[in-house]
Parts: sequence; C-alpha cells; structure tokens
Amino acid sequence: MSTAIDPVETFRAEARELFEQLETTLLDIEADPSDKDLIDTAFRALHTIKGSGAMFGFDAASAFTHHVENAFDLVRKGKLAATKELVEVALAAKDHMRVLIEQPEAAPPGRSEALLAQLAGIIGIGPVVSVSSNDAHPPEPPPERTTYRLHFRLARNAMAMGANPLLLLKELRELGDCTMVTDTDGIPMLEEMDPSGCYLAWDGLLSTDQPRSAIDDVFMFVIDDMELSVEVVEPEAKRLGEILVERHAVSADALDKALDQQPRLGAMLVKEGLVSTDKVAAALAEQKHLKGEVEKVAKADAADIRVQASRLDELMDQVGELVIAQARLRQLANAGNDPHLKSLVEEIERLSSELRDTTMGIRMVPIGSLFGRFRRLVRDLSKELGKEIALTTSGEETELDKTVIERLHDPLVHLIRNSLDHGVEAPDIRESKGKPRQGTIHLSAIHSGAQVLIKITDDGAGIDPVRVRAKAEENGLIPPGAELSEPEIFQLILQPGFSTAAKVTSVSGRGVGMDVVKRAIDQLRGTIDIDSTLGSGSTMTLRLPLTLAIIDGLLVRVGEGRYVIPLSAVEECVELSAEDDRRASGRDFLNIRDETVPFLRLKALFNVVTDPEPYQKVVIVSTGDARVGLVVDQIIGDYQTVIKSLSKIHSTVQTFSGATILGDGTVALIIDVPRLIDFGQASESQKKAS
Amino acid sequence: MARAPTVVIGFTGAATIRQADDIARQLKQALESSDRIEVDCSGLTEVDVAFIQLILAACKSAEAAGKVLSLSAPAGGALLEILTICGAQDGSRAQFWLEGRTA
Repeated sequence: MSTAIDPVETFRAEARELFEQLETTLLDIEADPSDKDLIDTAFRALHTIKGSGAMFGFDAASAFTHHVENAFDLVRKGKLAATKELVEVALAAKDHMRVLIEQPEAAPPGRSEALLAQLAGIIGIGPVVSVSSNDAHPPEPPPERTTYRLHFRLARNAMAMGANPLLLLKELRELGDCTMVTDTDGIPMLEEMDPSGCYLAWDGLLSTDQPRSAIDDVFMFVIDDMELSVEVVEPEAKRLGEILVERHAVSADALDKALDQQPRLGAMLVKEGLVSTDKVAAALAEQKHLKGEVEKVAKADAADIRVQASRLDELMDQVGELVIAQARLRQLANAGNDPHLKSLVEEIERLSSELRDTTMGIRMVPIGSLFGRFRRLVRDLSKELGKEIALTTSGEETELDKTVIERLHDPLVHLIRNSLDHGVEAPDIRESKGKPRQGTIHLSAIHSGAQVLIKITDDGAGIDPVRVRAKAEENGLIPPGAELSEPEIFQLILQPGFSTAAKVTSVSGRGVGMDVVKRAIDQLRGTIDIDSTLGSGSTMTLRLPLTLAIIDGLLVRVGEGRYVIPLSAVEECVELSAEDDRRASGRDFLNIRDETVPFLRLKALFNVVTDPEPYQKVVIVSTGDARVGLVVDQIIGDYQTVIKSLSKIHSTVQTFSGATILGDGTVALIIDVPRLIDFGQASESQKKAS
Repeated sequence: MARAPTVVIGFTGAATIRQADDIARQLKQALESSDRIEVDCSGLTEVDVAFIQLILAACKSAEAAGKVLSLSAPAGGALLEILTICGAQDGSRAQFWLEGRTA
C-alpha cells in the first residue's frame, strides 16, 4: 500500500476544489452582482490559491492570481463593480490559473499578459505589471485588519535598565487603533516597593492592518523576561462576562454562578415594562439559533478528512474478499454441527455486512458536485450559440458511487450539449412559437430502489419521430416501412452512425453520436430512456446502479453451473410445468396472466449437456419494455455479491458482466440481462433460419 | 487620639525614575506622620511610569492603614498626558486620578 503523499499533489487536489468553488461563485456573482458574501467567497478562494500556490512553488500561478485577487479586493471595497465583463475575464483567468497549476509547462505563452491586460482594462488603470515565471514572489498581500488582544508586563528591572513603557505604548498606538488599560494589580504596598521596579502591566486591544510581526517588533528590545501575550480576537460585540472569561480574569464557573444570582436582563426589562415577554423569548431564540449555527460550522470544519480514492478502492476490495470469505465460513459452519461456531458466524456475518455498508457509504458522493460543473458549460455554450438558456437542477444531494459519478461526466456533457444545440431553439424562434425567449434545461437526480434516475429535460423543439425514422431508413438502420413504436424510434438515436443534425457545429454533430453515450452508460450497467413531445421538449432518463462494486442478485443453477441474475431486472419467478414445457417446445412462449412472454432456455443457450430436470423454473426478467423468461434448473436464492471483473481474455464475452466467488469457492458468472436477451434472440432467429 | 492635620506634599519639576527613591521616601514619611495625605502634582513638568506606580503604591498602603491619600487637584498637565498614554484614565484608579480622591 503506498502511503507517501506528494504534497504538491495534495495542493493540486485542493486547488481543484477551490477552482470549482470559484467557478460556482463567479457564476452566482454574474446572476447577483450585489451579493457581498459571494464577492467575499471569490476573494477568499483567490487569496488561498495565491497563497498556497506560492508556498508550493507555483510562482507564476501565484503572481497571476495576485492581480485577479486585487481586482476582487477592489470589488469588495466597493471601488469596482462586479460587471459581466469582470466575471467573464475572471472565469477565463480561473481556467488559466488551473493550467498554470495543473500543467505549468503547457500554459500558452503570453496568455497571462493578455488576460491581465483585459483585467486592467476593466479596472481602468494602466497595464498591470507583466508577469513571467521569473517573477520570484508576488508582493506581500495587504494583510487584513485584525484585532489582537494584548497583555504585557515588563521585567521587574526593565525600567532600571532604561526601558520606558510609555514609549512602547506610543509605538503600539502608532500601529492602529489601540486601547490599552493599566493593570494595577501588581502594585505592592509602598513599603515593599522597589521605587525603580516595574510593577504595572497593560492589557487591551489593538486593531491594525499591520502584520503580527509589527507587534513583536515593538517589544523587540525588552522581550527578555517579559510577559507578552498576543491573540487574535474576532471583532464582534461580546458580553462583559465572555470577555472576562476570555481574559482569564474570572473563571467560567464563577461567572455562571454570579449570573445565576443576578436577574436575567430579559426578566429585568420585562419587569420594568420596557419590553414584552414574547419579544424577549424571540430574541433569546434568535440568540440560541445563531449560537447553534456557529457550532455547526465549527463541527463541519472539523469533520472532514482527505483520503486518496485508491485507498478507498483498496478498502472496498478487501471488504469484498471478506464478504466472500465470510460466506465460505458460513457454509462450513452450516455443514457442521457446532452451535458456538454457528452463532459466531452469525455475528461475523452481521459485522461484515455492516462494514460493507459503511465502506460503500464512504464511496458515495452527492451528485451536486457533478451538476455544478455543467453551469459553466451551459453558460458558455448558450452564448456561443446565441441562445438564452437557463440550467436548473434538483436532487443535488442524491448520492452515487464516486466512480459512477466520474464516469457519468462525459455522457452527461454530451447529452446537455445535444439539448443545447438540437433541443432548445433560438430565442426568436421560441418567441414565434409562443414560448418564453429563455429556454430551460433541467437536470435532476432521484433515488429509485437500488438505482438512481438522472433526467435531462429541456423545453425545446423535441425529437421528430418522422425525421428520425427517415434518417434511420436512409442509413440502413431499419428496413423501410418497419413497424416501430415511438420509444423504439427514439432508441434509434442511440445507434452508431446516427445524427439528425443537418448542420455541423462546434457543439455537436461531429459524428461522435449518441452511441458513445449509450456505450458509456451501458458500461455503468445503466440504461437510457428517451421521451419526447414534438414542439415542447424532450427528456432523457438515465437509470444507473448506485454502485458498480456490489450487486443484488438472484443465484440460479443451470446444469452444474451457477449464475447470478441482477435482482433489479427480475420481475417474478414461475414454475415451468412439464405440460408447459411440452406445449411450448418449438414456440417457447409462456402464458403469464393472459400475457404471452417469450422465454429462453439457458441450458440450450449455454450448451449445458446434462439430463433435463423435472422441475424447471422460469425467471421473468424485464429490460425496458420487454419481458423475457429465463429457464433455469434451480433458483437458489437472493445473493448480494461483490463483482469481480472478468479478465482481458474474456473481454469478448458479452453476455456476462462479471463474476463472483461463491461461498464454496466456486465461481458464478453474473448475467448481463439485456445482452443475454439480444444474444438469445439472435441465436433463436438463427435457429429458425437454418 | 487627636486627629493629625492633613499633610500636603508637593512635587515640582521632574518626577521620574531618577527621583524615584526620593519620592518614595517622602511618601513614606507622609504616610507615617498623618492619616490624611494630600499630594500636589500641579508643579510637575516631567512624569513617568515610576511616579505613577509610586502614587498607586502609596494609595494602597494608605488604604491598608485606613488612611486617606488624595490629590489636591485632578490630574492635569504633564501628569494627565502620561496617564492618558498609560491608559490609566480607563483603569481601576481612574476616579482617583481624575477627581483627586479614591472612591
């Protein structure tokens, strides 16, 4: 297990998050330029990128970011408006920063200068100093105004040695707003006093925009043997009691005691008739709420830990092995007759299943992070295409396996591009059709059993089934005049070599069609449904499993071999009576509640040569709209299992999506239902043809 | 016991660490000789932290002995300036310095 973590990589990972955050924030600012919190967030993100960039040796990135940060500092101070132009440049600058950090050597020369010139144009000052990688360090950022709580007491002999506390106090005052108060507690009786000793101490607050080091400089020559404490305080109005406790002037316990004896302010005010009880109650509630919020934020800050994804994968793998070993142990225990062993096995079973769930949970990531990335895409593309399109999202909190989310990115980009380009019409056309000028693309995610449904809905022109059909016939995908239902026609879009776009744009229609999307989704064991109403829009629905690592399956036996059918595809199990079997021979149709369901004999399909068994079962599975029966010899039961991918040698085997190791150590293949049905139908028609 | 008259000690010119021993001795003598001591600071032209400490220490001793030490007039001039820099005006002895007596 590799444990060495490259600090630069860690920085890059952090920077990536910051860039994402910055992008979201910039887009939000574009929508609401007056939101001060957003400006602050953008500024802070830039500040952090600059600071840690310099720390890890990304001097060019840091120097470049410095100028962008300055621009946002001006915005923050109200000296510059957060215009669309500024956001535009900032977004471009963000992309450039990312290049500077991810692949500094790949950064196009002159790009920094060009962007900074644009930025300078917006700020309205002369060209900003050019930036090159040789620029060693950016000028130190103007530190933010900070309030320090100071306490100092000079050494007893300090004054005798020539130090003058008055000069120190004067110097402190020159640093900023300074409130110092003498602390006379140290003054002894006159009789006990050394007249030239130093007994006074001072404490108070200093609000300054000078760095912390400036304070140390003041005390530089008297620092030996002196007491000096400097701490940062949040400049907020505090209650007397809190300040006393913070300064260690009184213990928290003593304060609480004193407060208990004193009537509450609220009660006092009510008694005096100055305020109603309700108002006090409301104010107290607000106080409590704010306090809770603060604590929550503190908790959230502390609860995060960064872990390499590869370690999670490793953990998942090991948990998988554990689950398999546990299943074998169980089989062994059941074979024997030891009650202690059996109860222990049950305990281990419970623990390992909990461990598996927890591990799965760690890998789950809310899909919102993925959705967030599309805002920029939609913004930039709609601009390029001259369309007005808003992206709305829902269900961002829906959690999916990290791997699934990563592999969803490209297909989703493709689908969204399609909606933007082919779906939503140009504003003028929309207006002439009585639609609002601005089109909408809605991204949503929702849990549905062990699956997640992701929908991309647009209110555009919709898909014209007639055109799709014509195109498919032209390309030879379907024979002319074939009878197809509307959903079947829409599915044709997913076929390789299909594109209805007459015009090739930079956005889509470059021949990389929806078939790529379909393949990607297939690999995720997902499906795509297309629904569309001509004139009012289309919806693409992606059905995806929650995780790729584990599958809920039905374990069945065919001959000697055992197979797992994904439970999500299973509808019901029925018995194939000897009578049905005989009657069905040749036609292979089953009558289930007055509905004819075709079935496949897995035994024949897999070329299993064992004697026919008397009680065969049919597992009815569904893929999309089709229901098909799979004839098996025995249904063993439901089985949750860890998927092991097949080796490269078996990569051409399409009917199985993977394998798993059973309790007794043998291997069971996991059936890829849609592919198996395709394969079955193909071999059936072959049989008929021959 | 007859009440001793108020003793007034006046300081003029400089009252700094260089004069500290001298001032301490004068204050001690005054405290020993009477129950009521008045300190006249109006003639001071130069003051530093040492003087302020001495006056504060004298106050403490006076209080401990049940005696009264007061300023003949609220602090002004050089003394007030130093008190301001020290932040003693906001401290616990503010009333003493600014009104000339302890609470």
